[in-house]
Amino acid sequence: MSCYHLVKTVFKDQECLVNALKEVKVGCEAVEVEVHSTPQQLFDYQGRPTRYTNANGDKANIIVRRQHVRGAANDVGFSLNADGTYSAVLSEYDQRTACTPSWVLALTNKYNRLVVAKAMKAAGFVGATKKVNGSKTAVNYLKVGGR
Amino acid sequence: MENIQVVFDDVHGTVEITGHGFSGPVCEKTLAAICDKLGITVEEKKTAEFYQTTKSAVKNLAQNKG
Repeated sequence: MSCYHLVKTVFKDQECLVNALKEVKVGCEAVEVEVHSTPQQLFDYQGRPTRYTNANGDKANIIVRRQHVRGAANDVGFSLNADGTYSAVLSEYDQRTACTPSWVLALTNKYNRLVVAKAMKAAGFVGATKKVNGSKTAVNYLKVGGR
Repeated sequence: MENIQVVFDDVHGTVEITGHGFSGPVCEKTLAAICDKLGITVEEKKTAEFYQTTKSAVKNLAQNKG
């Protein structure tokens, strides 16, 4: 069964989400991530277009095709919402195999780091010190040219 | 000196941001831009130099599962 579910996320930055997907991976070593301004059709493990979340077809703007997902999984997608966030379009099967809660957590942590680094750079800050304490990492950013 | 401390919690998928040494509006603007990218809302403390935000993205994912 390849039933898709829509999972609302807080991801908003397309570039950071794509890079996080590439770095975290979904089973294969080299992950190709498709980016589409117009949502494109998702396909199941047999290559059939699916219609679980939408009668006109399950579609997404950011897609990792099933060839890049571990085992006989389905396409993994992220569809852009009107509020600028993305909803993950994940199959029931993949949520138990490739896209488990621990994968979602790893993706979230990677995304958080990429977004913070990007936003800090844009705001004129550079990372000065980094301290790891168990599962927590504290990074101190200083303003470039600051007093 | 203006500085921002970011604490990543890899167990909970949260980010805590604290700004120091800013004048209020500058800090607010900078942190608001960062928080917007993170999809979190600035929870303003009532002191000019201290702002903090926390949000569990993972919790949000689970709660909004459709």
